[in-house]
Formats: sequence, C-alpha cells, structure tokens
Amino acid sequence: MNAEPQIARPPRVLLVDDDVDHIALCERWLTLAGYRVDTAANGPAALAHLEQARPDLVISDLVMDQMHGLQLLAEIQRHDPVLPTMVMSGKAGVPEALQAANLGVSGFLEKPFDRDALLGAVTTALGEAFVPPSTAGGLETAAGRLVYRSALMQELVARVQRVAGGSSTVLLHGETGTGKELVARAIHDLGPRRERPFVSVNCSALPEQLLESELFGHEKGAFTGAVARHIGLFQAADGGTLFLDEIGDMPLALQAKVLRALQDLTIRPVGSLQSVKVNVRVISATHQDLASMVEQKLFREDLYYRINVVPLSVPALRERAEDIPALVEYFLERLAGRTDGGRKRFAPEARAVLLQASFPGNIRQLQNVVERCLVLSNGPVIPRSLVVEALQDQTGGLPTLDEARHAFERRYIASLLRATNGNVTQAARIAGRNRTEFYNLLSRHNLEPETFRAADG
Amino acid sequence: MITDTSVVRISADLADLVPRYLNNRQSDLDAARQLLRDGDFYLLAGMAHRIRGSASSYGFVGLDVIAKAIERAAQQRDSADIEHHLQALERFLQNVEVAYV
Repeated sequence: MNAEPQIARPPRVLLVDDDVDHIALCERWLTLAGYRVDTAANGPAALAHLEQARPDLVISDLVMDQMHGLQLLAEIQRHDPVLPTMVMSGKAGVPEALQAANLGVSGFLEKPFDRDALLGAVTTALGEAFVPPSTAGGLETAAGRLVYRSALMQELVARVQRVAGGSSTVLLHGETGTGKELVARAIHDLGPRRERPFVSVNCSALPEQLLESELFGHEKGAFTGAVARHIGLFQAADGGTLFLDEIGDMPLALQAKVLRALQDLTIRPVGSLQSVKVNVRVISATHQDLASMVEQKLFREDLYYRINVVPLSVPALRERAEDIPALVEYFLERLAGRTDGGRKRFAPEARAVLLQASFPGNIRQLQNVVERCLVLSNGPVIPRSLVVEALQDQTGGLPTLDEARHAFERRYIASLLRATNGNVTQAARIAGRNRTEFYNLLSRHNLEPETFRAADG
Repeated sequence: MITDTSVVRISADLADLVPRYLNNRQSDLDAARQLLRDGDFYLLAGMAHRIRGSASSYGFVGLDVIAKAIERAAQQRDSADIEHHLQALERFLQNVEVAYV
C-alpha cells in the first residue's frame, strides 16, 4: 500500500548538441534546477544512449554533423513513440519546424535562449506534457488509484489517512464522477478492516422494498417472491465496511430502519423475528445537499447526524485541474492494456485541449475521453482533433435518458431475480408483467435466471 | 560597436565554464582566420552562427553582435568585412572582463 505521496525522482533529460559550450551551459542550468542530465554530441551517440537508459525527455539540436536532428527525432519516434522530445535550433526554417511538429515534439527553443526559457519549456514538456505516474501523488486502493498532485487532494488524503484508523461514520460529499467510492475504498483499505469485506450499494438504483431486502436480507416467504433466505449487505459486510452510495435517495421509511441499525448495531432481516448483531463501519456518499434536505424534511435529521460524524468533501475536477495531467497519464497507462495498439500519448496541442476542458462529469468523464481517444487513434500520438471530438460527444459524463432507463431496468430485473432466487414467475409477478414479457426483458438484458438460483435454493 | 573594455556580468553558477568558453572562442578566432585564408565562407558562417547561439546565453553581451556580423559578412563572402569583425572579436577576447554575479 502506498499511503504517502511518493517523492518525485529527478526527471532525466538527454541533451543532444554538437556545440560543447552550449551543451555544457544547458547541462549546468538543468542540473542546478534538479534534473538528471545526460549528454550526447551527435545523433548516433544519442541513439546508443537511448538503448541503455530511457530519459523522460530528449532535447536535440537540429543542425549537427553525422545525423540531422530531425532524422534523430524520427528514429526516436519509431522506437519509442511516447518519449517526449524538444528541439533547439538557431537555423530552423518553417519547413523544419513543421516536420518537427509532425514528429510530435513537445517544444521548440530558438537559439539563443536564456535559462528561464529553457527551464520553462522543459517544465511544460515534463510537468504538464509528461507526468510519470510515479512522480504524482497516489493512494492505491483495491479498486484503483487515487491520483493527485493538488493541495486540495493532499489535504483530503491526509484526512482519509486520519479517519481510516477509527470506526466513525463518514459522509462523503461530492459531485457525480469525482471518485467518492474510491475515497471510501481508500478509507477501508487503510484501516483495520482492510482484510474484511467492502460492500457497496447504490441507494438510488433500487425501489424501496428491494433496497430494504438488499440491506437487511429476508427470510424465506417474507414477501411474495421471497422463495429463499437472503443474506443482507449489513451482514455481508460484517467486520468490514458498508458503503451507502447516493444515500440522499434513500426512501424516508427505510432511513428509519438504517438509523436503528446504526444506533443498535443490530439488524432484523425482513420477515424475521430475530435480530442479528452486526459489526460494520458505514461510509455514505451523496452529491446532494443533505442539510438542506433535512430542512425540507426530505431526509431524517437524526440519520443525517448519525452518518455525518466525519464529513469529507471530494473536490470536483475543475477545483483540482492541476491533477489532470497526472490523471491523464494514469489513465493512458491503465487503459493501454485494455485497448489495442499499445502505449500512446497525447500530442502537445491535444493535451492543451484536455487541460482547458471543463469536465462537468469530472474524473469519470476524463477517463471516458481518454479511453475513447485511445481506442479511436490510429497512431501512437493522439491528435487534437480526436480530443475535441471526444469532448464534444461527452454529455458531461451523464447517460442519455434511454441509457439511464436501460441501466435501471437491468439492475431492477437483476434485483428481482436475486430476491426471488431466479424464479421467473415470481419475478414477473412483482414486476407486473406476464411471463412472456418478462422473458423478453431477460433476453434484452442478456440475463439468465439460472445464475440467480442459490445452490441450496 | 564594441569598446575596448567590455565588462560582462555572468552568473556565478557558470564560473567554472567561462574560462573554457573564452579559450574555445580564441581557438575559433585562429580557425576563422585560417578559413578566411582558405576562402571557406560556408564553414566560417557556420562557426559564427554557433558562437551567436551561445554567446548571449552565457551572458557575453556584445560577443553575439560580433558573431552575427561575422556570419553576415561570411554569407556575403566579404573578406574585408570579415577581417574587420574578426579584429573586433580579437579585441573583445583580449579585453573582456567578467564580473560574476
């Protein structure tokens, strides 16, 4: 587990120039600024160097004996298309600049330049264009990695680390797509319950009766369709953590039952006379303003105080825009394995578009955009046009009404089948559909009733 | 043009690099005179261009102006003008004083 943000290793820069005095000067400036610098006096020497050690950035002169800088960049592009490169030259004309741009260079420095120009260009190329995931802060969880560099997230992670050791209830507040479940997962993984289950339920996805049955379980025959005993999530999470996502959508009647469970640490499955002791840490999350819902009597005040012992705010991506480069690199690396075509990187102008985008759908939308660009780009360098297109087609990370309806229907039918132990007749009756219609629904959602039948049914 | 005494202010971080830099320019001056005698204006222009690319970066204000003048004269194959600017380079190298800041 990586609980602390990692210390950045010094980025490694390979300088290629046949002017010994100029290369010595650039080496000195970069070394003083904390970079690790290697030098090569010509193209072949640079290629030989690249075979031994991979830098984070190559800066090359253009006019050199033995091999022109553009030829060197083309070779680098062929062997290592995601390695960022920069050009420095005093002689480059427009055609050479265009060729360099086509080779995906991250910067162009015109000689003579001063220290600030060099460091600024390198910072842009390394700091924004290329953030090795190992240099960004990160908190590994079983469900993925919290990637961040921003002060806001550092503060949040520090609080997560502090609350992880206790058992107080935590309420996470944040917009949709900000990674609330990942934060909940981090609290669980960093705490003493990490070896026990982390169980998650979305309170907005199920109708009241099913949600109650999901949370507390039910006895066989507790209601129509309850053909087998069903263990609820409070019990499934025993010794671990129960994550109640979108708790603001929980029906009021059920809120009273959850409150009792939290107060007494006992639950009573639907249809049972027996109470069962549970040992569960509850983490809740919502994108809604629960305090205002309490005022409007839409949310129980007593439950609000019970779940809100430790409130944590998960910032929107626009509040932590400096995390976007690190997140982009993380998604590129993580998603590269899932898509064909190997590792890819964004062209500098494509990355600039990503950095300026607003992402109302937050990290989930950013991930979707990166994934779409990875899938649709032909070459190793993702062009600006693809990013623009992907951003235009994203509706803030929100599904269309049809998509949302489809997703809800599938979850609902799966819940019915779970509750009825895969009994189609019972499930169809609860759904208010005849068997033929219900089978059509199953077929549309590619659901098999058999998979919901318990072995001891 | 350049006066006989040139005081240039250079970052103390570069102090150990400066003597070698000035030695290399002295070698350039000797090589430039040979190139002028050989009539190799192309290499002469290239050399002057290289000096121009690093002079002001080091902080040698004035040297970049001389180098630019040599480059232009070499491109125009104007031997007299080149000799004139090489003399300016010689004076610069003889008289330059470096103040480290």
